[in-house]
Amino acid sequence: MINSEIPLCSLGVENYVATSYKEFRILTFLGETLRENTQKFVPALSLLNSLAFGFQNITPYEETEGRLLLSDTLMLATLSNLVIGFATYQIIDRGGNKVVYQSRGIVPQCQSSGLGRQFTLLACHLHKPDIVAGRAQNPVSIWSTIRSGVFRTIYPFDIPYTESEEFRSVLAGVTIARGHFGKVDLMTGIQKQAFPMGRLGNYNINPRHEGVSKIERYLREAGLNRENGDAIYFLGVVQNSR
Amino acid sequence: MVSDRTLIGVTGVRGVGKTSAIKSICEQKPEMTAVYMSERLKEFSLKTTQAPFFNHDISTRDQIRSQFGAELTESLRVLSGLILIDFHLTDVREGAGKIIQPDCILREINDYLFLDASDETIIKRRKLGELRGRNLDVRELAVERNAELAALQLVTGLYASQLLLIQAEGAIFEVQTEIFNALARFGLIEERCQFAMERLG
Repeated sequence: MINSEIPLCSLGVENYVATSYKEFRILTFLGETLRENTQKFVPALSLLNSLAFGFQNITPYEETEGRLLLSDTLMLATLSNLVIGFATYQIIDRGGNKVVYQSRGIVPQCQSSGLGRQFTLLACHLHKPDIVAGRAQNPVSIWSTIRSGVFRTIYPFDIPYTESEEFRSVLAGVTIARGHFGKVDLMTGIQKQAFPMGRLGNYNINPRHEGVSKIERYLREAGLNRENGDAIYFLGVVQNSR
Repeated sequence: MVSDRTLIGVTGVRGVGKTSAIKSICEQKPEMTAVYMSERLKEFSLKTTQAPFFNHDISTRDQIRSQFGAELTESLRVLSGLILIDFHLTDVREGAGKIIQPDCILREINDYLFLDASDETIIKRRKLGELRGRNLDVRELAVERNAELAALQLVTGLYASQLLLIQAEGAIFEVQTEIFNALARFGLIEERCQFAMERLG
């Protein structure tokens, strides 16, 4: 298991917008700053991603770079000047609904702190999307997204994709933008073997938790196999969106 | 089949499998016509300039495209039935925001199909096929795809044409089925999926 710290000063990028949340600071890097400094972010984000999901090895730099190149915004959460979490946002605006695709990771010690929700709230404030898209296999994380109060409806957990051609079309657009078109079942949102490393992170699924259990049931019925690295694409319709 | 001429633009990043799918469809359905723009453009360049198209600088390429577009538009007027045009709207090597096809062709096209597959599959197909300058870098592939889709969005908006997405992840007969279903949705053919059934025996 990797165990390391990432000092903020090691990044060497200072052009950001900083906000506070509890004892954390969230630094937002936008457009040009992100593009001009991609190479500086890559080592730290590769390490952070591995810490957040408990990988044995550091995420390959090319993979991190590829993810960053698709992103329009990067947020880093710091605690005592150490980087402890990240979120990237890709704007997918092809007419109709404005979608942002979110990818987040927070080191285990700082999970359940509300940081994930704060990232999403900031991104909604910044980009004013109609829909926030994400990909996950952890029902606990999906549940925390649902109960965050940011979304009016979450496909496919509140409404299955089978019941909405419009949202199947949105899902298709998101998977194209992520380079996964054809790998995702548009009827369920499931992507088989999405994560080559299999199960991401160590989390416990409490069978007595009503919300988490409901999601877990959906995942199981849709055929998600966590150990196989399967994941689900979900679409959260933002409160007060069009 | 409708009696008038209908032009369907078939786009997607290089290596997704457009040409193979169109060739296969037209072999099975000879009443359909295929136009392979890149091949035709290269032939036109050799004929009119005695030099390969990509040997020219970008400004000359644009002039050749424009002349070729005018000639092709004329030649398409005499055709009838369903015509599938295999082409790209962009070439990121000439700038991601640049639409390379002349306006005279774009205004003739009725509707569009955009073929796409996962990065993994496209890279695999590029490795298997002729590379012809195709990039094997996933990051570049994302740039190509975004450029093509943005151009497609603009063009379909400008000319009020429809766009359907086609999953090209699977085997060629599955892609053909998807294309046939899309053509049926456009109201251009009556049978849905029958073609694939014939192939499957």
